[in-house]
Amino acid sequence: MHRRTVLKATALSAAVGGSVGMNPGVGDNRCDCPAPQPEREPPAVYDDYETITVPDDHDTIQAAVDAAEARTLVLVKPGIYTEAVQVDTPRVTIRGLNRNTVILDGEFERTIGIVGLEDEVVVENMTARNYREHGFFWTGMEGYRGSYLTAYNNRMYGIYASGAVYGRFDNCYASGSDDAGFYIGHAVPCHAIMSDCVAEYNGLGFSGTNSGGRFTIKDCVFRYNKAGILPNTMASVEEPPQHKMRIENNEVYANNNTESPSRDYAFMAFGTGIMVAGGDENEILNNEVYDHVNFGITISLMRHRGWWLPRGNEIRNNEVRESKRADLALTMPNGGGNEFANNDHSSARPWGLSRGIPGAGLGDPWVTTVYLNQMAQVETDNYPEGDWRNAPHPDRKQSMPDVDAPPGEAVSR
Amino acid sequence: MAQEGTRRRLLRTGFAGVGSLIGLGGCIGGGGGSGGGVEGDVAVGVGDYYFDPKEVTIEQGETVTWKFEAPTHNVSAVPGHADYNSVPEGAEPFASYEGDNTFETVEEGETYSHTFETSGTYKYVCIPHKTSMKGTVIVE
Repeated sequence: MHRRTVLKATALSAAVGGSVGMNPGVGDNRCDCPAPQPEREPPAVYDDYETITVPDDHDTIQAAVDAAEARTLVLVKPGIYTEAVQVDTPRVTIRGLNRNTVILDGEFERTIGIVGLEDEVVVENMTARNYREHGFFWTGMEGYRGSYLTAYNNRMYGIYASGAVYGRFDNCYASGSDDAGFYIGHAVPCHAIMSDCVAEYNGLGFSGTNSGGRFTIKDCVFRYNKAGILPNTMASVEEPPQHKMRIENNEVYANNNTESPSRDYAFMAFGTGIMVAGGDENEILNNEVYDHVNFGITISLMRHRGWWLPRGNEIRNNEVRESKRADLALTMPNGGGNEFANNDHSSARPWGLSRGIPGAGLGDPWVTTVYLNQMAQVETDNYPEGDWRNAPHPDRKQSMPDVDAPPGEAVSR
Repeated sequence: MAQEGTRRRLLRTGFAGVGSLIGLGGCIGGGGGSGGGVEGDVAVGVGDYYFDPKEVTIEQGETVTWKFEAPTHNVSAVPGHADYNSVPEGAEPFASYEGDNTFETVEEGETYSHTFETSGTYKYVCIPHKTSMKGTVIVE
């Protein structure tokens, strides 16, 4: 065993025995709001707006954005745009006329396809590929939306929001990113919905660090990644631990892809459909989860500058099947109060986890050991991974139904 | 007067750790990122959404070296590039990128260094993650 792994295994044993440093700071940043985001009315449209067309009015998307004032619709005609666009005007909508033929191409040189920096930046109906970091990125604003976007073979995240609130990703597709296809993180309360999206051939289908509170992922498909959905806690990010996310009515299957690109920790969760890593009070409801070589749904501890023991998570009414190790799993140690109920499944670790058996809530050290073994593979660089540049290209995706619609706010409040 | 920042590639061996997930990984810097000052020429780790330590205290003429242990991050104390940023009066702003290329990031495994010739407090961010990655250099 690698020396670093030995050290960590020792630390793990100490934690199981009741070491200090568990859940540091818990309660400091707890959101009083519920997990789910309520259904919203459609966002308000702008009664009066300007339209700038690319390339008719400006040769590049960036030039059009630079010329835009608030409440401007930047319409982009089909073509391959070899640029990286930065949007620092609020209330700008960038819309492609065809999702599949309006393509931003980073050519493996540029860093980000489009980054939104101001409130109410909306991006719709286009593709970003081959960027060294992200396809579409929103950071530090209130009000963002990405709709009918395709992001593939962007190294780290396909479609990404950091420190942004009141957002929505819908009808989007992300593949070929070594960290995650979708990421929404660093936001409490989050006020975000991700719906009707597909993530495949990534390290993780979804990752979200310390995000939650009025945050719902629903009606999405996560498949062929190293692992499917992974909300997680990191002490280095504000607002730990991750808490209060609802994961609802998703189809999550075959996240065992040895050929997908991967950053190290994506492989640590390999073969898992849904994992809560050190998070609290999340709601995992009505999902269909199947065909995983490890576990269908795992509630796991996490170490990051202390031990984060998951607590108070609710796993209910899911259909989980065809998991090689167990459909449902809970690590030992955990923080308690994790409720598994009414799940259609055939196996669990510990046994009786979803059947009210006394003591099952303590968890199972064998589950922890499975992930420890995968981490040992990471530590020794002995794990399979593909190259983000060569992930499979997606087929054509459905474009937004009405490209002539007026622009508007990103989401309603 | 502040010197130009420098960037160079180091062997990854010394600080190639990654942020941890799944409850089993280690972390860079051993948890020193919560604000304790560090005396003298110092290194600051730049990992997945953190500067470690967040605050360092040095003497005039000393150098801080930021070690990038994760991709997609940079360093900027340019006041016009983030609300949080500030430098003492008379000091030159510094950034790991050139000009207004605020989303140019530093490759994992590389470093960026800056020598501080003016005393006072410098506040800086990682521009792509400016809401969550903030740091301070105090020059005495």
